[in-house]
Amino acid sequence: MSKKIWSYIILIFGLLLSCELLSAQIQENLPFIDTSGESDLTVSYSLNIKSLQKEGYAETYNGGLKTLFISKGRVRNRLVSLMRMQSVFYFRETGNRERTIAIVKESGKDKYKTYLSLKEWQQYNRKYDSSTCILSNDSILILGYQCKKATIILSEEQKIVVFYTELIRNSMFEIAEPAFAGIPGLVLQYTYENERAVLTYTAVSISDLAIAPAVFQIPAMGYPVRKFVQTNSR
Amino acid sequence: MSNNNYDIFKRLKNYSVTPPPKIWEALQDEFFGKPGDAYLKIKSRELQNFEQKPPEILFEQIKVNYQRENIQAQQRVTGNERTSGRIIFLFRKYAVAAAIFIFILAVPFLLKKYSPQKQKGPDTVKVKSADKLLENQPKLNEKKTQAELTANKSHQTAPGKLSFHKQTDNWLAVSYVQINGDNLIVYENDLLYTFAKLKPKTVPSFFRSSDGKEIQISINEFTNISVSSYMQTIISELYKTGRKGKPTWKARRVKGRIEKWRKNDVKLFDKKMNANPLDIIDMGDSLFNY
Repeated sequence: MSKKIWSYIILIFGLLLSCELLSAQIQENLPFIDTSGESDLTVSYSLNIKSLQKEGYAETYNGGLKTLFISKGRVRNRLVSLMRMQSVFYFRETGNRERTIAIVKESGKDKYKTYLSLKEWQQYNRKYDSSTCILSNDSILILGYQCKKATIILSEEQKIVVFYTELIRNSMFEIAEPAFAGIPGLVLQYTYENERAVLTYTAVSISDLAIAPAVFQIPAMGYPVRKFVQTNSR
Repeated sequence: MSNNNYDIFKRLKNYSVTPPPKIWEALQDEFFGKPGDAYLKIKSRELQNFEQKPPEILFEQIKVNYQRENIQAQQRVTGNERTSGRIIFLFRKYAVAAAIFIFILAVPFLLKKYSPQKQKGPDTVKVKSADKLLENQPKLNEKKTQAELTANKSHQTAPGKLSFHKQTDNWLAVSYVQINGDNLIVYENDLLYTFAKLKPKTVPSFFRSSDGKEIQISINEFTNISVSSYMQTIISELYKTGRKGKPTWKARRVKGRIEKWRKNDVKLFDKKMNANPLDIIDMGDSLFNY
């Protein structure tokens, strides 16, 4: 083979090697990678609501923050906004199966907590049972993670566009967010659009630091238990 | 001169003369005698023994030709030297390719060497800041969890003059918030209620200014929320007072609107429990269709 061909081969090899090294470098700079689902996980999402009509009520949620805590079979999904603070707890191992899920309204004078069984929780989120998930190769970068696009379709009008990373996986995700049951990884951005507004949650921080067990403690005093009753009409 | 030669050759090239008839037979007779004799001479190999001494001038001509060819050969060598420039150019090309290759290989290592110190997400930074606050505290455990650090920081930064609500068993309960560096006591974990409850005299300056700067509310180590410009306007209108220091008609109207939103919120998410505020579809459909 001529020198020219050899030089091309070496150049291509070098390029491939450098690409590999660069991708390794990028991955090394990520906050963390966990595909086993064993690490503690804290992800915070900021909420952005865009609407042509400035509905004051919706603005009380605009700029809010949702934080997902996952640790050793326990989940706390907490929304904090001007109008409301509310958490949903999930415990994989609990003595009382009727209390696998707890919804706790933390703000206002009328604080309360409601316990649900896993079956009731599934019933509560039944609208996602018939949803379909279409994975796509489009991608964006969020917090250093290359996130792939997916579309969750409930109906012609109801679609959620999500961007997820495959580098963080946890079996708890589908419990915390039943909408994302078909997503193979952690969702770092998701958008829902209806005829009047566009709502987008975007991850603003992610951490694998240990979470104190107290974070998963359901408040007792000042939070009366309310029975879970779901009516058919809104 | 050269042009003339060229013209002569051109003319000679196109020059043609028709030979006289039977010239061939005449020539054959001249050189080989009668037909049939030439054939016999070749056959008997008489030509093999034929010798004739070349004229002296021929040697001189050969010598001149040799010298001329020698000069031409030297000229060719000079031309080759010129082509060696091409070789040098090719060599430079390889050198450039090698330099690019080395550069490509070096980039990741350089990036690694000179990139900022690895940060394990924003929370790591926050924990470090919390560590600084805890420097003067007795060290109980080397490894503290996120929430423990949060709780410690809350106690450290809380100014003594603020009277906190009794710490409930809700670990993430909000006793106070920091807005643009100022502390503000929160009632019932309810930010909007707290803002609506403030008396005009005690309203922090950030709600009075109309510079359009975004207000960030820091609730704890991992919770910061922002107040939209629309809500900033609404909240600032809450505190407008008339001459006698009483809330204006507009302020009372805004308060009424907030109360209406609160009732709607309870109706949507608490009474029927058909909608989950943490669910994006429920939220999107409820907020705009109540």
